[in-house]
Amino acid sequence: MKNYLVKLILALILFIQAFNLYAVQRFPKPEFETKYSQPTMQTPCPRSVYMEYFDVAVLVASLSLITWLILKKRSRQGVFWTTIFSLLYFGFYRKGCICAVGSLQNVTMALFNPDYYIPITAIAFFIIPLVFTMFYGRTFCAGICPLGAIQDIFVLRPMPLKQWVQTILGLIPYIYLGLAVLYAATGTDFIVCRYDPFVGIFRHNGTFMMFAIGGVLLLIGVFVARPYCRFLCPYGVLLNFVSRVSKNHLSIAPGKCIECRLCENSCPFGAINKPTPTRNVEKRNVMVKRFAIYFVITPLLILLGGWTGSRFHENLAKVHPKVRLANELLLANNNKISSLSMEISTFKSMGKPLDKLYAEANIIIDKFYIGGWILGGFLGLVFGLTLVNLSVFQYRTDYTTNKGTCFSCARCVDFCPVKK
Amino acid sequence: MAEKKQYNRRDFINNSLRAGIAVSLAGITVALTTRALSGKSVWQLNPAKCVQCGRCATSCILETSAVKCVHVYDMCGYCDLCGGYLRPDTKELNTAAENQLCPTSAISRKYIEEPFFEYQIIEELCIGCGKCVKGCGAFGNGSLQLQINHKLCVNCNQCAIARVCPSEAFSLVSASDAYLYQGKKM
Amino acid sequence: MKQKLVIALSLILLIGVIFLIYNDLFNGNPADSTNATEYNLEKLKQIDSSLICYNEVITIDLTMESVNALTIDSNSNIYVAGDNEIQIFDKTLQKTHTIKLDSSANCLAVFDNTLYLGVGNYVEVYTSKGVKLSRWKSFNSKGYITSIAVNKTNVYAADAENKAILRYNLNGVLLNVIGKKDKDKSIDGFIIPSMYFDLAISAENELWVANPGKHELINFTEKGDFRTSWGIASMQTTGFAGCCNPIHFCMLSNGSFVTFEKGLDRIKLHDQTGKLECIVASFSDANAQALDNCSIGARVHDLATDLQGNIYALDAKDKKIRVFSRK
Ligand code: SF4
Ligand code: SF4
Ligand code: SF4
Ligand code: SF4
Repeated sequence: MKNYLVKLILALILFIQAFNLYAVQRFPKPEFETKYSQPTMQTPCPRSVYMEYFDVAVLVASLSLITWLILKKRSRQGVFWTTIFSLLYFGFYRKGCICAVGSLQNVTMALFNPDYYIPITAIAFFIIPLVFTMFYGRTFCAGICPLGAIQDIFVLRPMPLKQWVQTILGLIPYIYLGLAVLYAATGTDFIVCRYDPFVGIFRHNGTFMMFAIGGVLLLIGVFVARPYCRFLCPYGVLLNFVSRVSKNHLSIAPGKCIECRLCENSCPFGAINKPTPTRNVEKRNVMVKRFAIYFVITPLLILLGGWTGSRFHENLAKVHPKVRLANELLLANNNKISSLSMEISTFKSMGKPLDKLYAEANIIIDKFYIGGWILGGFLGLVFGLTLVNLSVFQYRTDYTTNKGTCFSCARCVDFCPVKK
Repeated sequence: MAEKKQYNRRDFINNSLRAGIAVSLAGITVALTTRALSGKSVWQLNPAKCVQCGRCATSCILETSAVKCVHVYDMCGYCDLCGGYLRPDTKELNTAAENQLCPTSAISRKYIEEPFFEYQIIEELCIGCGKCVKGCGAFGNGSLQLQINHKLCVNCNQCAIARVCPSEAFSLVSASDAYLYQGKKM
Repeated sequence: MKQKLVIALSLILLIGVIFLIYNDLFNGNPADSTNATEYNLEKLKQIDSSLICYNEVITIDLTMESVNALTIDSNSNIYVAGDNEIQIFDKTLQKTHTIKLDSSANCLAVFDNTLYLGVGNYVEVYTSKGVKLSRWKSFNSKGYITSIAVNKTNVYAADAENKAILRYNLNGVLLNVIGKKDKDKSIDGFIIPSMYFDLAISAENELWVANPGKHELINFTEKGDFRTSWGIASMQTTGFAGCCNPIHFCMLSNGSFVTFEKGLDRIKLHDQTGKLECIVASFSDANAQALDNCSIGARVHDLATDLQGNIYALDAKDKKIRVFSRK
């Protein structure tokens, strides 16, 4: 026992000695004769991790609340006030970070890159809204997502869009999602965060570009309701898909729809399905035929998309800083550009061999080749399925919400005369 | 009758899709949480890699950068002719603004005793340009260093400076040990 | 009609926003390549080439991770300390042998085929063939020896941490301590802001010590009395730049000084009175080094000279010895 103690003390002394030596080897301290004490360094601590957990708790609580308000209380007013709350909390207080939309990149990055350690909160923000959506539809979009919330209060003079316009613009989020996943998986960048339009507003701080995009989107949002959600949001793609199979989605009429058509134009997002006119039923045979054709075309579209994507892989890869640097160096070494960029001069001062950089860049480009195929294939599939969807005939007698695109904002509910 | 049948089929498809989604979400959760960071990670830059390119001052998403100069007093020589404080071409040694290297006069100099002077960074004024860091590194001890100030940094999901830093100085570090300055007591 | 117009305008704006993002992502420059607040050291380093009076004649590549010190004996053998060893080159610049050490030597001096090394806070003595002769008792535990010089009777060790010169006899007996702050002797004491503290013995056996914080070189008697000094602080070539310079110097047989300044990375030749004679070399290096642990700003880690008056500089960045001879 005593022995052990002595050893411990010895070890301690040695340890302190070692530290002394280390400090000593570098800087002889000035010998102050007056009483002088060093000021403390300006290194404040980051926000505590418990506060992050608190954010998760707030997310779950507010999601439960809004879901209850939508499905049980059917109260647009309740939804509105929850929207305001999350706009203030997740938007202005938490400054739009962390958000579910961006977290999809963290998750992708973590899945593809074992060295990347993802914070638990990022996983929570990615999973929890999806789980809620799986059961209750996109209640997250109704008023919890700060990006949705800020747009929602700008829905002032919504105007209906033509169906074909909606369908075409509705393809953009798939492209955005594909790119976001590609760039996160290759460890290039988080483009969704980079082009997050409202985060500058939440922070009252940001570049001109950020404010410009955010402001323009809000302006558009006055007439074309929630443009980011409908025509850009990549997380919305996932929510849309999950929501389609949701178990208890909001319905316009609490009971049986009486087809009074009062709600017909109540949705600012064009997410209400009208009953199908019988006219279509007669053409059913033609439709089946068209459906069959698309069924053949879709695999072709996938292949074509993949091939096209792979053709462009070098352009896609140029976003990666390493590939960009390698390209610049290649040009510089062939004397194609004269002035050296900061990247090049810094690279040269670091003394890393050029071959190594080129090799690393090549590995990344190879990844983009595969990524280009997958991205293109995915988009081909989406186009194909969109075509198929157009020709799928669904027999409907009631006014219903389109489970995929409906944000469950409960605006239509107030228009329905059926109570219970 | 026919209608009902169709309904059941759709229900079945929905249910199985939902089950599929549930399984994959659970899969992702399990796969990631097993190796997730239990704490929190924050961005920080490594001064040993930094070449003071000036982008820290201009590329942060905040209007005035969250990157600030910190003074590692332990490393400072308390020199009279501070390489980080004075412009190299000063004619006379005094603290007039035109003699100061810092573009915002964010360093204050205080006489302590012959021949020592203390230099403090006035955080509110510092824009993180790294000019003083370069001067101190070249002529002095390198006690002035750039660091992300975590009171100011909003910890972006992807730090905007990290994206453009030419020396790859930025990385995510554990929030419990959020500074990487040189000469840190270990 | 009006409604259609508004929608069309909105959609055009939306496409515009998407195009902006697309353009920024694929065609945008990541960041400006000009630095508005740049501190251009290169400009300061520029010197009039007519002032340069030496040519670089040869370089010796070293196979070491870190290089610390350099010395040359009377037979023109070159000794280089670095890593945990000493490499010895003969006058034809061929490596003859390597002496392995227990730990890294910061400085070394050679006299009469005996090597004196400063290792941490003590001195070790080896034969030039590598047999360890002794390890001297350290002055105190916090010391740190940055430079060492030997003549027939004395070994002088510069201790940066104690801010003093330790004078030993050749057997390691401490004779006296030189340069401590002393009002009676009107010695102000050394100011050593960083771990650079050099000394040298002139051909006349006079002890010269750098006082980097005061930008001067001081001449002491053996007993530790102040004799004379020279040097001014200035960014101009005539003075020493920055907060603490010169960090290394050596003396030629005619009594003139060769100095190295960190920050501006220049080697200069001064006459016996300290007047600038000319520039030996200046390292311009467009790619400033990142701040690295110990060698902040210092490109050259030691200087030495041989009997012919050639100047040897130990280049820590390129791991080379550069040899300069008079034009
Ligand atoms: S669509 Fe996207 S941005 Fe809009 S509310 Fe839903 S998650 Fe948020
Ligand atoms: S961007 Fe990188 S190299 Fe430039 S000042 Fe910041 S940390 Fe240093
Ligand atoms: S020179 Fe730049 S980094 Fe240094 S204190 Fe001034 S603003 Fe801050
Ligand atoms: S994480 Fe964001 S706020 Fe912090 S330094 Fe980087 S860009 Fe600035």
